[in-house]
Amino acid sequence: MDPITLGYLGLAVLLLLVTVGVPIAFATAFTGMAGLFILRGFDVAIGLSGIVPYGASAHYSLSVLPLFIAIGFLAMHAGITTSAYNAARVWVGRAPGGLATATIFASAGFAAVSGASTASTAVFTKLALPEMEARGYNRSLAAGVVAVGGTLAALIPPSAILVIYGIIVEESIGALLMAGFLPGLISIVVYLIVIATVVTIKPDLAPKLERTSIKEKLRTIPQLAGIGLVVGVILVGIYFGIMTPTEAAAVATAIMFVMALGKKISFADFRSGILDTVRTTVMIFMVIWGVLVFVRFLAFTGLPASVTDAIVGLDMPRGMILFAIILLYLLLGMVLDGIGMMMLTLPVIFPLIAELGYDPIWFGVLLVKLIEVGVVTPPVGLNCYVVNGIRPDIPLHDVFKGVAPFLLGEVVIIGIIVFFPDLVLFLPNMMR
Amino acid sequence: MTTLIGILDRLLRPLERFLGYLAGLIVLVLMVLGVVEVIARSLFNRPIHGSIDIIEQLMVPVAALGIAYCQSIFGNVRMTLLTQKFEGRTKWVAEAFTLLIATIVVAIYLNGSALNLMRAVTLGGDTPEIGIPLWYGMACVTCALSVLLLRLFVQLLEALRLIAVPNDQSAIFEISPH
Amino acid sequence: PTSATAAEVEGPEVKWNLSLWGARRGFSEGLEGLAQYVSEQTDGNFEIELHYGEVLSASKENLDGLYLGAFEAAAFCPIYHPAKTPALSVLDLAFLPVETLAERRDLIESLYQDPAIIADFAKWKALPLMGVMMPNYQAMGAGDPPTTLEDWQGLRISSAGGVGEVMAGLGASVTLVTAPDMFQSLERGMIEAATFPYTYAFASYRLHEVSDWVTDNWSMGAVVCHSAMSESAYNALPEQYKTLLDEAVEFGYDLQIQKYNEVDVENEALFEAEELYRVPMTDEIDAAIAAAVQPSWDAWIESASAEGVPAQELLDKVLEAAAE
Ligand code: NA
Ligand code: NA
Repeated sequence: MDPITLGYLGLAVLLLLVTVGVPIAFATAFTGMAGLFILRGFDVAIGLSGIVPYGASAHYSLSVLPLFIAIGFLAMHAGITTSAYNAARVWVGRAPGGLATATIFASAGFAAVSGASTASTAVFTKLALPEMEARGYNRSLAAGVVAVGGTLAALIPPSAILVIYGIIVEESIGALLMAGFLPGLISIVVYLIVIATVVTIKPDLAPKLERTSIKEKLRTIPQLAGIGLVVGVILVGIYFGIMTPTEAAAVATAIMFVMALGKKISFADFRSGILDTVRTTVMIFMVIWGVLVFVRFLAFTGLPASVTDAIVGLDMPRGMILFAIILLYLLLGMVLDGIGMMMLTLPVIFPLIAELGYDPIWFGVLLVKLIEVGVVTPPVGLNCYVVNGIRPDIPLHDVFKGVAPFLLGEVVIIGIIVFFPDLVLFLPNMMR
Repeated sequence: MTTLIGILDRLLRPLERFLGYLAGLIVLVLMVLGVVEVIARSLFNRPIHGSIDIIEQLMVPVAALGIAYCQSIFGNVRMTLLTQKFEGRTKWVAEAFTLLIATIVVAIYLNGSALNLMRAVTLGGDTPEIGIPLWYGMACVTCALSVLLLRLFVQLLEALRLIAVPNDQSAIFEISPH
Repeated sequence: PTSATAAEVEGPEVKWNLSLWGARRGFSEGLEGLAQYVSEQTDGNFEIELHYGEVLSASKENLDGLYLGAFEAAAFCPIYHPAKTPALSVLDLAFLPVETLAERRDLIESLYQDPAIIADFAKWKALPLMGVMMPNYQAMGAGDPPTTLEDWQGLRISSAGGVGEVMAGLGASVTLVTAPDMFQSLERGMIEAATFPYTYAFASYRLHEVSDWVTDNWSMGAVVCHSAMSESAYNALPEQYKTLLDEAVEFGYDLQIQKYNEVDVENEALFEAEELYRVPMTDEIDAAIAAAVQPSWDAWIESASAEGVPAQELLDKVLEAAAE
């Protein structure tokens, strides 16, 4: 068989395996191994694949991942997240869809201490979802808010996925983390508008809460100090170049660790935090391993090069090509998780982006936004899976239904990122 | 059959958790190392020699030691929209298929990783700044993959057993993260 | 030779995959030239496809890939994993007296004949293909230029390998920053200087924009990388292709040197515009460097000897070849 055809066949088999429920880490590795076996023989398939688990893990810049993840889980198990949620509820609970709004605000606060969007969703599924249900919120809306709110963690620094992007395309991780900040804030505003609109149209989806006094409101402020400190360390540390991203992550983790001790975190909670961190880290790394094996296979087929050539050969204005790329990612987001998608496509897409003259930092933020849309859309919508995984009584399609109104908002956000690149580049440019 | 699977499962769980905690402790070591590096550099102008080498090599156990624990609670990302609809025997056939694929993958990883380890031992290789031999990390990955292969083997056996008795209880598949 | 004058070479269809990392750049132009030459001469029958971006293998594992026969050729840098090719590391020693790229090419090629070096390749079932050169390193930095030895005390500099050891020997505080974060670290003062291949690496990371000074032609030496080919793939080539490869290597070296020279002219103009102060070499600093170089060479001799490399002999040979 012609190698390029074999490449397409490999993609088809991969999609099939993913669809029948093979974890992405194993589906990619299996297809890649089989392809390497066909193209280069048994010894090469075993040998090349066997290098990957060690080689892809012994990586300096990737060390921020477990640290970013640990900050979030420590915050959760130390009860700092609960404080944030309570504060948000006291302040905005009275607004239309108040608890949903509070969940978005608290998710944003948590995003500032959490690097992984799935971790963030997991936390609020346990924390905010029962609260909303107890107050008579529509369960689908509540689940959707939690899933969408989780995506903020990927834009607002620290962000694991922006780090991985920076490693793949060799751009400054510090600049990328700064670039995610404003689009993160814009996303919050848009989500709030969506909630207000939905609740105005259908008020029975979200009953109103009782009033809280100013005194009560002010009392919540000190509880937010912890999150403020971690945000400060990460932003200031990176912005002023006092620390590398890895160091900033380590220092922020240490602060959270000390605060957890200060809150007298129980040993059992501490152990749970540690195991949660390890589980999420492993989940990310096993996907990285699998996709790398698949990437080796694809490279031998020559498929990526032929696709790049084909696109470059198209005589289209660059806006059209960008539009096509956005569509491609939205489609891929249906079947692949974010990291897998990035590692698979960037070898083809990134040279193209560079050739078209787009800013690599800006594209990183756009890409992460597209990926985060992917994690809340069916059929592979990681955050929705997390909600459903923790709350099996809420069917997946209910979660996806709850996300639906937010997708319109996402289109607006993507539009803002595309048409106002200066908003994305404002902070990183200040650093330059 | 049930007893054999049960015994294997009970033997593996403490080992998997132990390795998981070990990985978590090393995350804390990374944390301490980062803090010390910042302090040593900014206060004393004495950065730690070889810190990048150390962090890179520590990342290997962080990424690898927890793999069996993660699989024991089915923590790897998968698409369940279709499989969620399966019931009874169909469900276990699908599960067994998935686990078979995973077992093959991990067996190949393990085989290749062992070869990688052998190469590092016989042909050499170390880190740039302070010359940490690479084989430590490779040995660590190889061990972690062995435990993962055992875990997958137990899960696969259990899925095969459940194809025969679809409605039987299963301690191995009814696992919640905590 | 150029493609216009050489005769076409007849032969079977052969395709080689060559594993590389990063994007196409000055570093890879020699291999681009090699691939272009063999393809042109054989009318596309002998193709060497360059795979960038670590898609075939990570840079640190290219030798393993050759050993496995996963691809026919690959680039690698001994500095990433010194013990994998202990003899080859001799070329990475700091402050070897090699001034120009042409000199470095001749040195590399003469060393490829040495049994100890050949053994380094053979261990990985590989043969040397061609050197992948980087120009000599210089230091560039922000703030007051370190014109005296005292100025170097505690200077926060990002520097790796042998050059890093010598910088530490000068009294600098050596740290390592990943290349993409270098600009920001320098601008924000986390580091005050960096050593890099001159001029291209400074320009590609835009360090000159935030710098005030650069060392003026200090021969710090360079990290030397190599490309290797799988022994069995080479042996399977028809004789005329083997001969062709020799010519192609020559063409590749010439192209790489020419490309580096072209960028140097552009970059020097940029540096000129930034009015970088050129830090001259003084007798005092020269003596301090010499004092720091010797221990770093001695350390290499000791560790390489422990690996069974005739290290002293090899270093003498290098110094002799460099003196020519
Ligand atoms: Na975040
Ligand atoms: Na999706």
